[in-house]
Amino acid sequence: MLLQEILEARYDLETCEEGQKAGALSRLNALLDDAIEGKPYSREQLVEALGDRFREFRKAKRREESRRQH
Amino acid sequence: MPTATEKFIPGEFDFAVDERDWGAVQMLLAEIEHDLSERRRALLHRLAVWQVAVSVLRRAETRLMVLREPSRRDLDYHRAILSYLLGVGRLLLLELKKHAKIDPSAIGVSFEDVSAIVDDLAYSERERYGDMKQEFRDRLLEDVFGG
Repeated sequence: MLLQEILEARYDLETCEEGQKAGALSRLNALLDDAIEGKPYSREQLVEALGDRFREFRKAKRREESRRQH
Repeated sequence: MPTATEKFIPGEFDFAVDERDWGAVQMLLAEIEHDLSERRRALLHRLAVWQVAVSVLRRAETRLMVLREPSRRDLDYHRAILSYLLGVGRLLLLELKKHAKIDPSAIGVSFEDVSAIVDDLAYSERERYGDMKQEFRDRLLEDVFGG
């Protein structure tokens, strides 16, 4: 599912090692481009519109990781 | 003491150089090279410090804004620091573009990675502090994902 893939890719960009940032950004941007293809929106607008969902997604991921560490 | 006019009479100025002149030129070149090298080092140092600051921001975000609900104070600081680091990152990118000889891989990161870190910060700023109207957001998400 595209929405889930975008959230995963966005999280990956934020959390990956610095040497992997360029690849992570390319993957995210490719998914964003797929989503907005033929639609009158920009990548940035889609990212902004997904802000609340991404925060929830990130919170769940971080809590899961935090639980695993303890 | 000869004046400048007396020193440079047209037709009498002699471009011939002896070894002492070359020595002076070489010293000047060494000085310029040293200066450029210092500037390269300074830019790479600023880049490295900026990278550390970004990772500290991300850690603080997780602790203060993801694993718990952020306070108004948290949001105010986060917004200001995020915006500051984004601006510094954009300036560093401009400087890196200007000085082709400066290779950020010397500190373990490519130019493309630096650029991606800047884009990541810009996305974070839009996600958290963008001013999109709820109505437009709902319509966009409906158009793109069908609800």
